[in-house]
Amino acid sequence: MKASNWAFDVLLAITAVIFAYLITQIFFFLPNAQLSAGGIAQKIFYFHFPSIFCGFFLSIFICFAASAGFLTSGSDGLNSLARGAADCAVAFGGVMLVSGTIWAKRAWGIWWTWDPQLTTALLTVLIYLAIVLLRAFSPDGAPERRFAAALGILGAVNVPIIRYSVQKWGGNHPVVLRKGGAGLGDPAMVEALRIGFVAMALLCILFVWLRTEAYMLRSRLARVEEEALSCGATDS
Amino acid sequence: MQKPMQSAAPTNPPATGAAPDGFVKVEGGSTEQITETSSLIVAYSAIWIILMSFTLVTLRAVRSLRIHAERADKAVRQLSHTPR
Repeated sequence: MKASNWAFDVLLAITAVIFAYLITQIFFFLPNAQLSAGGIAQKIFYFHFPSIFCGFFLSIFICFAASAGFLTSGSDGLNSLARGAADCAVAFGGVMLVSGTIWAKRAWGIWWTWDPQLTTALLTVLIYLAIVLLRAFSPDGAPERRFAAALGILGAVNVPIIRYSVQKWGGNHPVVLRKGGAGLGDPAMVEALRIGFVAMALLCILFVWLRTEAYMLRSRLARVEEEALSCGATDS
Repeated sequence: MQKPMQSAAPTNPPATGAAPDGFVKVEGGSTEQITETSSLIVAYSAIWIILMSFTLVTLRAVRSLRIHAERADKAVRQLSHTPR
């Protein structure tokens, strides 16, 4: 058994246990929030909020760091990491948008509103979706890789804008956990949120790991094909 | 039976340009509401469908790529040992 496989399996088992514990806490032990927050629907929060900070933002940060590294070093591994992290940013962005809109319908009475935080978050998801599509439908050449890496860096610039837009421009998102906010009202809720952060961060790491491995295998396959052609295999 | 929390964020209307302290209905929003329970079920189903689909697609891709890479490696090794 390879060391990386062993580490992956251990991480997967830990993540599964934490998620099982989190779901038990959310559905059986946590009190319901007030009706204006959606009542029992407020329990969406324990997945919605961690999927933003420890899924979406973490993927973006990894993509940003790997893209910057790729632009300076040209490393194939960093390119695969940036590509894998961009895929994960889109997946967690999807979780964020879908869970957010369903909760918004209950709490705000509307599926979508052009609130500054929602708008900037949607824009960021679209930037990462553009990276994924660019890499999927263009040849995997050096210019395309550099352009995708530059987009990965550009997308990360939006993260502080999303984070502080609600403080700067207001909007519908309430101040609950930020400075001056009313808080969650129950220590068990805060605890569940912390566990949610850990669970989502681990899931994000697992996803990035797997996607990166897939892209590294693809690069390896391309190299082996080249090698085979140089050894005299026919191109068929 | 779980009791609803009353102490979390209050529901005052927001000041212009500032973030509200609590959850406020959006003006012009539909009065037709989906129930709390169905919101929760739909949201959790959607979250898990997205996460599980992503996991499944990724695992399938990794598995097939591993097989392809191993086969290709073997083929190259055989080719390099074959006299031309």
